[in-house]
Amino acid sequence: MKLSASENWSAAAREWQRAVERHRLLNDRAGEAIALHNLAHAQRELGDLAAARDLLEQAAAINDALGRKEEWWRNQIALLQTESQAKQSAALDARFEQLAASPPPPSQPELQGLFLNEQGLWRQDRGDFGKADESFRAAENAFQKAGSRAGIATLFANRARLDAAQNRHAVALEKWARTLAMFEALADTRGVAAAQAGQGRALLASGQNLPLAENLLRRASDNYRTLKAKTDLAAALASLEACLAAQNKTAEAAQAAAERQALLQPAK
Amino acid sequence: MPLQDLTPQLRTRLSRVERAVGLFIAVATLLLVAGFAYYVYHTAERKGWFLTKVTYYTYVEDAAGLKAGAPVKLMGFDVGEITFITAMAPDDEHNVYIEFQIQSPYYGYLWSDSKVRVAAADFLGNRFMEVLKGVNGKPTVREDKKTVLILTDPAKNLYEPVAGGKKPRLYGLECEESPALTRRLEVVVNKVEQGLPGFLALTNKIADVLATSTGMIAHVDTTVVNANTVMTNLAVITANLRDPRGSLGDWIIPTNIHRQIQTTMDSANNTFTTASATLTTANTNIATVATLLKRSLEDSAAITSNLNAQVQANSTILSELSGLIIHADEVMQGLKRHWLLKDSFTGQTNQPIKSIVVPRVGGGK
Repeated sequence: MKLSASENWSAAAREWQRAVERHRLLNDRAGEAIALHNLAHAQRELGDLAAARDLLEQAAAINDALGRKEEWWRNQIALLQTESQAKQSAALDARFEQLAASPPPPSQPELQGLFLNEQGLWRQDRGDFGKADESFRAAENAFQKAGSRAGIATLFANRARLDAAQNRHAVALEKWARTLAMFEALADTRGVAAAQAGQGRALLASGQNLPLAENLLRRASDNYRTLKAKTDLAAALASLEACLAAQNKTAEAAQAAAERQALLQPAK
Repeated sequence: MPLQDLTPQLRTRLSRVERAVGLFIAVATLLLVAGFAYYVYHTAERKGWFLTKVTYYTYVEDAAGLKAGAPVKLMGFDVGEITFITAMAPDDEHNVYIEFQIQSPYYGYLWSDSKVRVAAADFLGNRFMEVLKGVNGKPTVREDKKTVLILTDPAKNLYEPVAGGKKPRLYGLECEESPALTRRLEVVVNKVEQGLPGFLALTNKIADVLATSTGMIAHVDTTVVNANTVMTNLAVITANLRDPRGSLGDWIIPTNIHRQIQTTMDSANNTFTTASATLTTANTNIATVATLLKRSLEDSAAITSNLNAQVQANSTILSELSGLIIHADEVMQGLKRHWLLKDSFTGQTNQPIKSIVVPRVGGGK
């Protein structure tokens, strides 16, 4: 658990794999399901989305058989996140169709918040901004009810992202600034990097203060590099490349592009 | 302006106005009289002026709370009113004379065995009068066509018209009287006041008895604890006495113990002889040890006096020690708060393992 918390994912994956085996030997099905889920989380962070999906399906099957509804919901939300990350749109649509019929109960506000957040992101990706905003607001209420500061900060980030997608850059900038403050207070390093990248993108999109946008995007890229978050780093580098190009810094833009290309190539 | 100075047309018009005014005043007067007559009739009906009334009388001890015009009740209904109250002559056996009227048809309920009851009405000293329905007697009033007859001689069953003589005939009823609540309360308070010293003395005695009982209970408690030990001993003793071989002498000194005592006494004699020799040797050794101990004590005294002198010479040593302790505590508190080490100081147990799900920022994380 500590390895996962400290984001040492490869070590965490090894330990969770051992935990899975130990729970199997002891015939502890509930423990096995939790270990499978957390192993999937570590695999997802390591970029192996297919393995993560399989592990989560196994965990969900065990929890379903044991009637552990809350844990089953956690599996399903992790599956939604994994499928979204893997861009498996068909599977994602089917899962949302299935889960939306009986969403998490109001007595589980944290699960409700997590589900509604994913629903908001899904609706935003489908271009349904109005409904996405509804989901995000409902999710924010649920997180407030659950007292989850991390959840509220994440919702602020997603709503800022939604504003940016609707070209409301001034509002988005304001929300990103508040999000950054929240993540700083929570010492959430990936959240801080996401907020920096978001601010940089909003400045770039509005065309104002490009040097500051470049600075923010560079710092976000550096942070993602430290965190070994390849997907996020690639996205941040793409924005940096655009920002540098807008300032006619072609050489630096090419450098950023090269690094991004290298990241996108499959590891040998 | 004189009337004859007016034109004929004006005079004609004026006389018409006068007639109209006269007519108006006549109508208004008629209406007023009719209204007044109706009011009088309604009031009379309400107050029972048209009803036949029979007058009764009774005697009471006290007129307190009663007054002329007060209603008289029968079975909860207002059936008449007190008409006259007066004090009797000083030499009369009764104190107060009361006359009251009962309306038709309620006097039909009053028989020769009916009684008047005067009871307390409230806490302000008011009382009310109630007549009780007869059960076994004869009716006090009988109506014969339009004549109302009143019972004048119950033994002979003789009735005479109410309005037969110069004054209307009355019928007397016995009275059951209870004093006003305030007077009854006054009596109760007086009794309480008289009884209060005795009650206080009683409470003091109860307090004394309780204090004595508490002391006794404490003694009993100790006694019971002691008795427990005694009972245990008694149980052991009786158990021994139940033994077939348990005569008191055998129990105190059994045969085998007797033999052992003999042997022990012999050994003790030898031991005492040896001990005497040892003590002689020890006496010599103790004298040597005492000399050495005295020397050690003198050295210790020298060391402590030296230490005292050092402390006296350096007066800040204690404050420095105190400061050292405070700083050490600050260092420890700082270490406890340090991000790297704070986990080492938390005494919490591991939380139950949960499946990790964190909210996701779109587009990457």
